[in-house]
Amino acid sequence: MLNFLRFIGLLLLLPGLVALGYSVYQGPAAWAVDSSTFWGTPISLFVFWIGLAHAGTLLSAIFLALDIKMDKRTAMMAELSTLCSLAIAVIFPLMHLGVLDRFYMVLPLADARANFSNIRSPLVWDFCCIGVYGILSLLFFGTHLGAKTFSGLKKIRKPLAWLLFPLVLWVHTVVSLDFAASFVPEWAGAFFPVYFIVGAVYSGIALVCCILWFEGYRMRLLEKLLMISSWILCAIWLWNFAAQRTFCTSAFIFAGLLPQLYWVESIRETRIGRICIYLSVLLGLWLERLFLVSPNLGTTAGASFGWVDLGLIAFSAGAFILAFTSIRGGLGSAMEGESTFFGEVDSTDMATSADGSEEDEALDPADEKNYVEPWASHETRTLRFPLFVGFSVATFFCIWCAAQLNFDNIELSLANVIPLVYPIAALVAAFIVCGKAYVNEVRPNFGSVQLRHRKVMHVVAVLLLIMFGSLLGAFYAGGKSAPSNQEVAAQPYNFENTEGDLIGDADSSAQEISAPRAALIWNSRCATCHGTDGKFNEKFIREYYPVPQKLDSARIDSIGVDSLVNVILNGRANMNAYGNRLSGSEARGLVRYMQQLAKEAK
Amino acid sequence: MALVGLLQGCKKGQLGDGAGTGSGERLSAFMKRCEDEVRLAVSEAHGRMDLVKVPMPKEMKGSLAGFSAGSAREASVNRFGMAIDLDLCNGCGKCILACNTENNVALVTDEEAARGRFMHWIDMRGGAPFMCAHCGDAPCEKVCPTGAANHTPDGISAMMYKRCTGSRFCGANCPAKARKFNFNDAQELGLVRKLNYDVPLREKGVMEKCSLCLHRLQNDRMRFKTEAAIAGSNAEWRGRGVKTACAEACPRNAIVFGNWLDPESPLVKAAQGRQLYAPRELAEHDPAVVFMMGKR
Amino acid sequence: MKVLVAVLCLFCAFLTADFIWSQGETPVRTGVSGFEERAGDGVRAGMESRGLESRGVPFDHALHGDSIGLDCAACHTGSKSGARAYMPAKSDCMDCHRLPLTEKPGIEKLDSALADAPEHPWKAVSQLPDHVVFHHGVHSAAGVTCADCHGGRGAVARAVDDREAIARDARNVPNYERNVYGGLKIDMKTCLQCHKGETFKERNFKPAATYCAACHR
Repeated sequence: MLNFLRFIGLLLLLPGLVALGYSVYQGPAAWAVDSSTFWGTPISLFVFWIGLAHAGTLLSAIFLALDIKMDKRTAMMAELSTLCSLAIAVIFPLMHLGVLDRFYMVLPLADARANFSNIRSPLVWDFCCIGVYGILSLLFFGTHLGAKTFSGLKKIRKPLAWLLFPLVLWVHTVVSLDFAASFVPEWAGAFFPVYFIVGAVYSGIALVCCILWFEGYRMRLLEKLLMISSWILCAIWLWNFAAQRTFCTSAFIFAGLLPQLYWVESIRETRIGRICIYLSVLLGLWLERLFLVSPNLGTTAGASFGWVDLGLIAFSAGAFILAFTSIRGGLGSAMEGESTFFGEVDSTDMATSADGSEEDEALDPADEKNYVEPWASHETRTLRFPLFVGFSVATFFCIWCAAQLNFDNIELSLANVIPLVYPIAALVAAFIVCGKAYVNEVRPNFGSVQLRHRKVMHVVAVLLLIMFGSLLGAFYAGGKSAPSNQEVAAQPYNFENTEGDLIGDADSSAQEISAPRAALIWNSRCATCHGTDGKFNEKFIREYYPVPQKLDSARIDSIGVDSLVNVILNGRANMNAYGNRLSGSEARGLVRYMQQLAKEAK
Repeated sequence: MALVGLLQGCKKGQLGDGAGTGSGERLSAFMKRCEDEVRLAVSEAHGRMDLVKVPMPKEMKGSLAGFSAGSAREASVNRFGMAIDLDLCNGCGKCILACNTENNVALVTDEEAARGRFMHWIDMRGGAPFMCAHCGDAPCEKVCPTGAANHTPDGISAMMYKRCTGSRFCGANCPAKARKFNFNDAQELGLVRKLNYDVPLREKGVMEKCSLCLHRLQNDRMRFKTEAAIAGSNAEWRGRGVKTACAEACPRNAIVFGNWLDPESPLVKAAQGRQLYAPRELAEHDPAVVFMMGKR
Repeated sequence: MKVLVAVLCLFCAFLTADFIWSQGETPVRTGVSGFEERAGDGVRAGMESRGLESRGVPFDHALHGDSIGLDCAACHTGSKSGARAYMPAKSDCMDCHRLPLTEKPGIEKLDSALADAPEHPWKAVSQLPDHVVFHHGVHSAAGVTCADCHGGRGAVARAVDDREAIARDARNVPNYERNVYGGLKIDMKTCLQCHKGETFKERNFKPAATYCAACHR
C-alpha cells in the first residue's frame, strides 16, 4: 500500500513540479488571474492545505487536552499530516508573491534601514502565526516521537497541547481575517472565522480518516465528528446563501450532500464507500476554497483554468503524499504505540474499545481518582512560568512595535498588534517548556543515545544556528538596488535667447525669476569673481583676473536694467557672455539681485 | 539566499541609456504603439461608474493621526487631489496617453490587450477617466504587508516599488480595482521605454497605480524648500503651480489638479459651487480624486 | 558553555551576513584623476574621446577649491540649487581659462587641451538609484555642506581641506577615493540617521522628513 501511494505521489508530483517551476519563473501571470481577481489557485490551495494542517494537531491536541483517549498511532498520523500539509501550505503564499526574494519584508522585524512591516496587515499576522504554528507543531510531534526514548518528555505533552489548542483556533481566525478584512463582497462577513475553522476541522478530519483508511483501520469517533461538522458547514452555507446570495453548488454537493450517504449502512461499512465519502469531502472543500478566492473564475469575465493551475494542484497532492509516506515509512514502528488500536481493524469489526489507552496516563494515577483544582493541576504548574514570560515578551514586543520611529506612514493602534500577542507568547512558552524538559529529562538520559548520534546532533544544531543567523543577518541588511547609471553632464539649458527677447519687454516683472533663485544663480555663476556679497572674491581676482567694476547703486541705476542684462548675456571686456547659459528673465533677476546687494553694501 | 541575490543582481539589467533618447525613428514608432494602445483601450472601455454625491474633500481622516503624533512632524497643510469635470470631458483619452508617457507606463502584449488587461494608470469607465482616488482612509494601504503602499502627509497614496513584494493584497482590497499588477517583465519584452527619467521603471511583480504625478510634486517641493531657505522665509509649500500630466494634457481642461486645503488652489476654485461625486464603492473611503457635474 | 557557543554562532553568522549583504555598490566615476585603473572598459573607452584626463591634463580639485575662493557651485552649477549637481561644460571652464591664469610651464599644454576639449568634457555616472530622490539644493539650503557627504578623503576634501593630511591618507589607505563620496558608504541607513537627527547632532539641522515618499518615488 505504501509503495502504491508513493507511486501515485510521484506521478502527481513530477508534472506538478514542472508547473511549479514554470509559475515561479513566469510569475503570477502563469495561473488563472485577471485584472479583477488578483489571487488565484495558489491562495486557494494555501487556504485548503492550511485547513488540513490545522485539523491534525487540533484533533491530537484537543483530544489530549480534553482527556479523550486516542491511541498513539492515530495521534501521530494526525500530527504528521499536520506537519506535511503545513509545509505544503507554506509554499503557496511564497510562490504567489510577485517578487519572491522580498518575502522577508513581511516579518515584523526592523531592518538596518529602519524599515518595518505594516503590522496592520492581516498578512503579517498570518505569516507570523503560521510560522509559530509550524514550530509548535514540530515540537509537539518531536516530543511525541521522542517520548519513546525519553519517557520524561511525556510530561510536557499535555502542557504543549494546551498551548496548541488556542493557537490553532487563533491561526485560523487570522487566516480568515485575510479575507474578512477586505472589501471583496464575497469575502466580507463576521461569520468568517467560525466558518473557516469549521471548514478546516471538517477537511482535516476527512484527511485523517483517509490516512487511517490507508493504514487499514477506522475510528468511528472521527467519522461522527465528520458528520457533525458537515451539518454545521451546510447550515453556514445556507445562511450565507440567504444573506448574500452567493452559493457554490458543487461544493455543497460534494461536501454537503454526498457525505450524508454515510448514513446508508452498506456504504458506511464498505471500504470503498468510506474512502469515496472522505475524498468527496476533500474535493468539495477544495472547490469551495477555490470559489472563495476567485469568485468569478470560469465566468465570462473571469480567467480560465489552465494547465499550470492543474499542475499546482497535482504538485500539492503529490508532494503531500510523497512526504507523508516517506516519513511514515522512515519512522516505521516508532509511530505506533505498544497498545492496541483505539479504532478498529477493518476485517474484524471490533467495538470501540475504551481500554485501548494511551501510555500517557501512567503519568499521575492520583489525578484519575481525585479531583484536582484546575490551578493546581500539572499543566498549570508547568505552564505558569513560561506563559508569564511569553506574555511579557509579547507585551514588550508590542511596546517596541509602537515605539518604532518608522511608523510615519502607519497608524498603529493596539488592535493592530493584538493578533500577534498569543502566537508570540505561545512560542516563547513552548520554547521554555521544551528547553526545561530538555535540561531535566533528556540531558541526564543522554547516555542511552549513541555517541555518534550525539555528535551529529551537535553539528546539525550548530549548522542550523549559523544558517538561521546568516539568514537573519541578510534580511537585516536588506537587498541593494542598482544605481541608475544615468549620465550626468553639464546643466541642460532649454531656452533660446533671441535678440528681441533680450532687450524687449524689460518692464514685465512677471518674467523675472524669484529673488532666492537669483541669489542661487549669483552664487554659482557670478560669485567666482564678484563675490557672494558683491565685494569681489579677492583670492581669485587679485591673482588671476582683472578687478571688475564695483557694485554701486548709483552706477547700476545710471546704466539701467536693460544694458546690464545685455552685459550679462553678451559679455563686455573681461565679463563673460552668459547668453547660452542664462535666460533673459534670469539675467533680469540677477540685475535686481545686484541692486539689492549694492544697497546692502552701503 | 546568496544565490538568489546573485541571480537577482544579474537580472536587474537597466534599460540602456539610449532607451529614452534612442533614435528618433524608433522612438516615434514606440510612441505610435502607445497611441494605438490607448485608442484601443478607449474604444474597448466598458463598465459604468455608479456615482454618488460626496462633500468636498477635507483633511484626511485617520491616517493623519500618525503624522501629528510624531515630534518632528506637524499636521500637513496640503491634501492634493483632482476633480474631473464630467460636463466637459468627452472621453478623448488624451489624458491616458499623457499619463503613459509621463510615468513610463508599460505597454502590454497583444493577447493581454485583447483581454482588456492594460497597465494604464487611467482607465476609461463610463466614458470618463478613472484613476486611483487617493482615498484618505485607503483600504489598500491597510492591508499591504510590507508598508509599500502608504500615505504621504500631503494626501497622496504612494507606492514604494522597492518595498513591494507583490502579494497583491492591496489590489484585492481596492474597492474600485484601480491598481495594476506588473505581470510581465516589460523591460525584457521591450514594452517600456524610459521616456521620463524622473519616474523609475517598475519591475515585474510589483503593483503600480496613479501616483498623482508624485515626482512633479516632489521636484516642486524641493525647489520651493531650497528657495524658501535661501530667502529665509517660513512659508509652507502648497504645491501651487504644479499640474499632473493628465490635467496638463486635457484639451478641454476637464481635469483640475490642486490642493484641497488651499483656498487659492484652482481645484478649490473650480469645485466651488459644483456638486461633487465619487464612485459608490469609494465614497466612504474619503477619496481625493472626485468628479464634478452640474450646478455652477 | 554550549549556550554560549550557540549564541556566539548565531551572532557571528548574523554579523557576517549583515556585513556581506550591506556592502554598497562600488561606484566609479569618470572625470576624476586616477580613474583609469578602476573604471570598467566601457567607461574608459567613452572617456578616451571626450575626457581631458586622457590628454594628460589631470584636473585637481585642490587647485580649484578653497585656495582660490571658489565655491563648488561655480563648476557644479546645480550643487546648491538643483536636484543634480551637474558637471561643468566646456564653456564653464572657459569662463576663467580663456585668460592665461598662470606662468607655470605646461600651461600651453593645458590651453591646447582645453581648446580641443569637447563641449561636455566631464560626465558623471549617477550612482543614485532611479527610485531615490536626492535634491542637492534643498540639502545645501538646509545647511549641509558638500563635504558632509562627499568629504571622506576624496576630491572634495582635497578642495577644502589640508592637502598634506589628505596626501598622508592617500598613502596609507588604498582606494582612498573609491567612490563619489570619497570612500564613505552612503546608503539609506546613512540618510535616515541624519534625517532623524542621530548624526551631525552638533550642527542642529532642522528635523527632516522621514516618510517614504519624501525621498522615494
